[in-house]
This record gives sequence, structure tokens and C-alpha cells, in this order.
Amino acid sequence: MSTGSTGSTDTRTQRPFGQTEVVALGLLVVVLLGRWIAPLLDSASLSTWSTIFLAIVIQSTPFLMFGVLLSAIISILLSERVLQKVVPKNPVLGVPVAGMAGVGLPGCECAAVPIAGSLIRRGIAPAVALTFLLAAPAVNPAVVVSTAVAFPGQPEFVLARFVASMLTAVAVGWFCLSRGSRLPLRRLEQLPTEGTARERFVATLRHDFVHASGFLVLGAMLAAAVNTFVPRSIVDTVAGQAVLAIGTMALFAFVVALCSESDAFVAASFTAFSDTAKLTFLVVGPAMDVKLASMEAGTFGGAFARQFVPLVVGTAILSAVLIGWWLL
Amino acid sequence: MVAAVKSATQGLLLAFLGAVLLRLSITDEHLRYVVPWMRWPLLVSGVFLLLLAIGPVLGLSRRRDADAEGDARDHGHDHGAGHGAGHGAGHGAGHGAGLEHGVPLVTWLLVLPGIVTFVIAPPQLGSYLAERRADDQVLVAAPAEVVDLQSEDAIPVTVDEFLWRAQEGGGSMAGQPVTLTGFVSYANGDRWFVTRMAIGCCAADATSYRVEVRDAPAPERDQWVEVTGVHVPESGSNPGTSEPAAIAAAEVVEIDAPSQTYE
Repeated sequence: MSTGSTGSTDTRTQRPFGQTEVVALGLLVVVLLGRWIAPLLDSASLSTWSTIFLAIVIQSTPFLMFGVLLSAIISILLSERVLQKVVPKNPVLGVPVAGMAGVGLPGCECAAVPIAGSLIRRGIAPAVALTFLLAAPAVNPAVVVSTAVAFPGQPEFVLARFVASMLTAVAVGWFCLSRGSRLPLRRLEQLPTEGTARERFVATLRHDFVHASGFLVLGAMLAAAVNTFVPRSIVDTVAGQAVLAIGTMALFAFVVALCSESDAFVAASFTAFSDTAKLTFLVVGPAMDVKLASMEAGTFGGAFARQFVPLVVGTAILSAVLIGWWLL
Repeated sequence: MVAAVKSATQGLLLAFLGAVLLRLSITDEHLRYVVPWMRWPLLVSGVFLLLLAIGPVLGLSRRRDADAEGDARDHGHDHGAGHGAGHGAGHGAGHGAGLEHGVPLVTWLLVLPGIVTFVIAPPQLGSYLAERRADDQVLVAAPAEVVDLQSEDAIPVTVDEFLWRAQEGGGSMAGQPVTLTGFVSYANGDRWFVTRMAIGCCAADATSYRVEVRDAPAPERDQWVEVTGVHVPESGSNPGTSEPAAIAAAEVVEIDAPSQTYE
């Protein structure tokens, strides 16, 4: 994707106005003249899309920041000895351990992607890191509490969500483990080896943030469009048919890309749907959505995402149906 | 062909995003998009992004200096820190394994949140979304705190609590004058509603709560109002049916939008 060869870089910097200056000028124009451009774009649908788009981006950015910070700590500061101690040597055992470790990360899904990337970079089996990626947004205490609040008097719903999400993460983890080196994971870029620890830390921070945030914005654009232009009542029309309802809820969870800490409230509002269909919404959403798929394609490569995304969605639906049939 | 994002430009994009987050957190503007406590994470993230941006932006001036001295192999700050094993190879093939090369083109999209903030200045969610979502079935959970309704005077009640009481049969507020605050939205023809959006995390998960106002002429769309009146008996007791909760208005006062528009 990059075209930053030395030759073109040098010729560009020798121009009086390079890329950076042009962008700086453009931003200045936007900041100064924005208020005059705004009325020309006045339309209710555009402004609603913008509100939701901006809301998703600014809601996610602090969590992404937190994830990137943790990922830089794992990448640079965590010593080999500590890492060896925390992660079981046998990856078959490491997969469920990583799933349980997800309980300790109180954050949205955006934080999990850079963390999983840094674990792989440190030589941890990809299957183990991916299990953590899938489990963390779905089973952490903040999500458990919000689910309990959204479904008052239904503690079995909270349990079902926890079990189904954990089952999804561990099943996908073991499957990835069995695929081993055939997993089309992009070789993650080498970390800086020059410079002091502090310089390497800052460079890693910046690298991880820049790599994930563009994809986050892309995902937010799509999710905001769905949120603005697809009324939820359209989804309601299929509530009666069991199979179609489950598929629709899974698809809807994928495209609206809600934060895992608030999706339970939205799920609870789908009063026409069966509990299993609602559970599907809650299990698919944190594991995979358009925002996550976009970020994962950016971090682990497009070839990987094309296999991983359907695998996760399929597994999540299956385990939600299974657990829903058993517990609800 | 979209050009790759150069290091100094990356810094600029990070700084721009950081500045936007800072601006949103310092002003009350973040209340249009997220819940109030997000102010502090936004503030910290904004400062953080600005700090991250310093390196590459300073690298810009250093590289210029290097160019002026005719140094082809630039040794800017960010290169020193950013180029690992791929330093030599990166210069030859243009695809180094170093951190600066290979930045995805989507990184350009980082500029979008800032442009949207300054150009569109998105308002809080209002009647447009509320009317599009009018057919959503809203089942209100019991509020954490319930207002004590035993008074001759009108008591302020949130829209969601009003809906919840109506859903429970409405007996708990029979004949009690209450005041609802919200913006105006319409539905088929001349019916109008005092409306409130509720958010859990951010505006993406917004749910609209609305109570039909009867016996009063409709104000403009999106006008904020205080409606004082009594619950119309039986209305809204079954959220599945088409009969929404309604208030028989004795008085409608137009007000300015509150700083926190979400419930």
C-alpha cells in the first residue's frame, strides 16, 4: 500500500509545499471557514449521521488509547520472564486461560485489537491472543453489570451471555490453534530496535494508534450510516420466524457496531424477539462487528480477516443458539 | 492515486484529532455525543495525542535542516526511533519493515472527525432520528430513582419515568399534575410529542422516548418545551399497541435547550 520510496520522499520535501504543508493549510481553512461552510450542508440526515459518527469515534478513541498504551507496555516494557510466567507454555491450555484473562480488561472492543496484536508480536501463539481478543469485550465486569441492569430479574440471561461468549472465544481459539501456521496472519511489523526504551515506547504507541485508528474511523462511518438510515422497526418484521430472527439479529449486531457496554439495553428493547435471538445479538456484537472487522483487517491483514470474520460470526451464532436453548 | 501518509503529516493528523478531543472535553459539546463522565477520558486522550504528535512534527523541521545540508540519508528524530531492521531495505525497495513506511491509506480518514466537528458541528440528536425511530417498540425499565408524586403542585418527571408509570397502568400518577421537559417531534399529521433521547454509552445507542401532547397547539419541530398536565388514563399502558402514552396539557412553555439533552 505504501508508496513512500526514498526517491519520491526526497523530491516532495524539496518542493516549497510538501504534503504536510498542504494538509496543514487545508486544516486551517476548515477550522477558520467551517462555520460558513456549515449552513450550505444543512440537512437533517447528514447532521444526524455526523452526530452518530462523531459519537462512535470519540467514544472509542479513549478506549483505543488505553489499549494502545497497554499494548506498548506489553511490547516494550514487559520482560520475557514475566511473560513466560503469565502465559502457559502449552497453547492448548493457553486458549481458555486467555479467555478468562478477558475478564480483567474493562473496556470496549477497540482496546482489545492492539493488545492482541502486541501479544502476537511478543511471540505468543496467535490462537491465544485471538481468544483474548474475542473474550475481553464480552465477559468483563462492566459488560456483565450492564447486562444485568438491562435484563432485570433475568440473571440467567447474564450467565447465558457470559457462557456463550466464552464458548465462542475458546472454540475459535482452538480452531485457530489446529490450523496453526496455515492461518493467513500477516507477519506483524518489526518493532523498533534502535533508541532508548522511552523512544521505542513512544514510537510503538504512535505506530499502533495510527494503524488502528484509521480503520476505526472507517468502521464508525459505516455503523453511523446503518444507525441513521435503517430503522429498527425493519428488523422487527422478521421477529416471528425463529431462524430468520436469529440471522437478522446477528447481521444487525454486525452492522450497528455498538459498544459492548451498552448493547444490552438495545437488545432488551427488541421486545418482539425471542430470548435466543436477543442472546445472539449480544454474543455476536462484542466478538465481531463492522468496526472490529475493519480494524482487524488493518492489524492482521485482509486475507486473515476474510477467514476470521465469518468464522467468528458463525461460531458466535452457534454457541448463542446452543446456550440459549440450554439456559433460556 | 492517494499518496501515502508521511510521518510529519501523521503527526499533524494526530494533533488535529487531539485538538478536537480537547475542544470537545473542555466545552460542553461532548454532551451531544457521549455520557458526561467521558469528559475526563477525552481530555486525557486529547493531551496524549498532542504529545504523540510532537515527535513527527518536530521531525519535519529536522529533516528540512538535513536536506539543506544535502544529507540524502535523513536522520530525523522519528526515523531514528522508527526504523528497525528495515532501515536499509526500506531505502532500497521503498517498503521497509520500519514503522514509518507501510502506514495504511485509511489513516487519511483520521482527518474526518475534525472536519465533521468544525464544518458540520453536529447538533444533539433531535426530531429527525426520533421520528425515524417512532415505530420502535420501547419498553421502559424501572427507573433507578422514582419521584415521590404526592403534591398539589406540578412535579417534574422525566419522560422515561412517565412512560414507565404509564406502562404500569398509570395508577401511580392518576390525576397528578406533572411537568415533562423535552423537544418537539411530530407524527402523522397534527399529532405531536414531547420527546427525549436516552443514551447508554454514546449517541449510537440512543433510544427515543416520547409522550403525546394533547389539548395544545404544536410548536416548531425541535423546539424545547416544558409541558405541564396530567396523564391521559389508559394511554401507554400497553407499549405493543399503537396508542402511545399521552399527557393532557394544561400549559406548554417554550424553553432553551438544556446543556444535557439526553436522559
